[in-house]
Amino acid sequence: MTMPSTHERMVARLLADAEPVRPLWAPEARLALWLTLQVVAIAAAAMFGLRDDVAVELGRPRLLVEIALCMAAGALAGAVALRAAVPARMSATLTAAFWAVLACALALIVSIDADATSSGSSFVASGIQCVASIVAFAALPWAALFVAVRRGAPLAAPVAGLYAGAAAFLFAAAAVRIACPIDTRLHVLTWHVGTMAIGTALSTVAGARWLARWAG
Amino acid sequence: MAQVQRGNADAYRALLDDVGPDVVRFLRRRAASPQEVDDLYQETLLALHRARHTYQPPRPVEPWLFAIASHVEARHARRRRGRLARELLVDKPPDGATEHGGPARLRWLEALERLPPAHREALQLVKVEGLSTEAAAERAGTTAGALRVRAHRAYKALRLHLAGQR
Repeated sequence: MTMPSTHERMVARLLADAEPVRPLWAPEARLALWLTLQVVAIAAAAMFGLRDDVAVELGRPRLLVEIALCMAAGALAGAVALRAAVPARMSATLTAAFWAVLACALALIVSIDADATSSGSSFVASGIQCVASIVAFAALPWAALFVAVRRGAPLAAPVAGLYAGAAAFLFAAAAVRIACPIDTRLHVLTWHVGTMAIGTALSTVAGARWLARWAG
Repeated sequence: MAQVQRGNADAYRALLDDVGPDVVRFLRRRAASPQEVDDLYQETLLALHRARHTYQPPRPVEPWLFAIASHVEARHARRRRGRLARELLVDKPPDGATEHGGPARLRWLEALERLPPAHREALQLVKVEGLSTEAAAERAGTTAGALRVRAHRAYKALRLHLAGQR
């Protein structure tokens, strides 16, 4: 096998820079750390304010299932994002599981009762409050996950950004769902799901811009 | 590879000598020309070096390494397709300069001629051949930072020269 003429020069150059490096933790360990941060965020949501009818809603499993599905999808997205940061660790099974759980969560949200009684101004006012809460809850976990992914070597940078965004915003939306008393389809789809979608899209753009830098 | 992460230079050399032929074979199957194999090989080794902290012992090295090589090749192919999309291929070169292209091309060539050779080379490697800054720096025998500065200065000089001639 004829080696390229640059082989020896490249080897010499890399050896000159062969300093010890701290190996990245396994994606599973990093995910566990990140999920701990999410538990704190959910606990903060509970302290920040539970909806008045929480006792009633806990008796009906629909809301609990919806929140659990959002959190499960968020955890799966976080796992996919952290695996995307390590070459050859992307998992098709995890990715498929994420989309399946997300589809179930969205199906449950779409099945919420429609409501035609709220006025336009109250719809926007309450919505903006939810958007602000979701963004506030997502900001720190997103930044932590994004930095964690950036510490690796993501081969598909926009995809890694997408899953990092989805993970952070799904958990934030789940946290805000615990506190938000408005249980109408239009409100949840517009302000909760819409914020998740926009946040994830922005994270995809940020991923394309900032997660590919390791490759030079 | 675990030894490489600990900074063991002998292990690093042994690894590179060991995987080098496999990487070249992998890239030869995908590259458009032998010259491209050289560039891809350099970029793959640089990417491997920058990503070496992501290898997780005791997992096998090959899937990790070929995922990186595949990524480098795909990125290179994207750049090549982008470059080809901007170029107009003709069966026969034109006999003379076209009405609009001729003087502009002359001005462009004159401006290129005026550049210091090192700056012209930097521009050629990064913008015409589409190499990454690291690979271009390796080819020019300089650092990535110095190459970036040269390309930037070449750009600036070209812009000034062409603006001054309008």
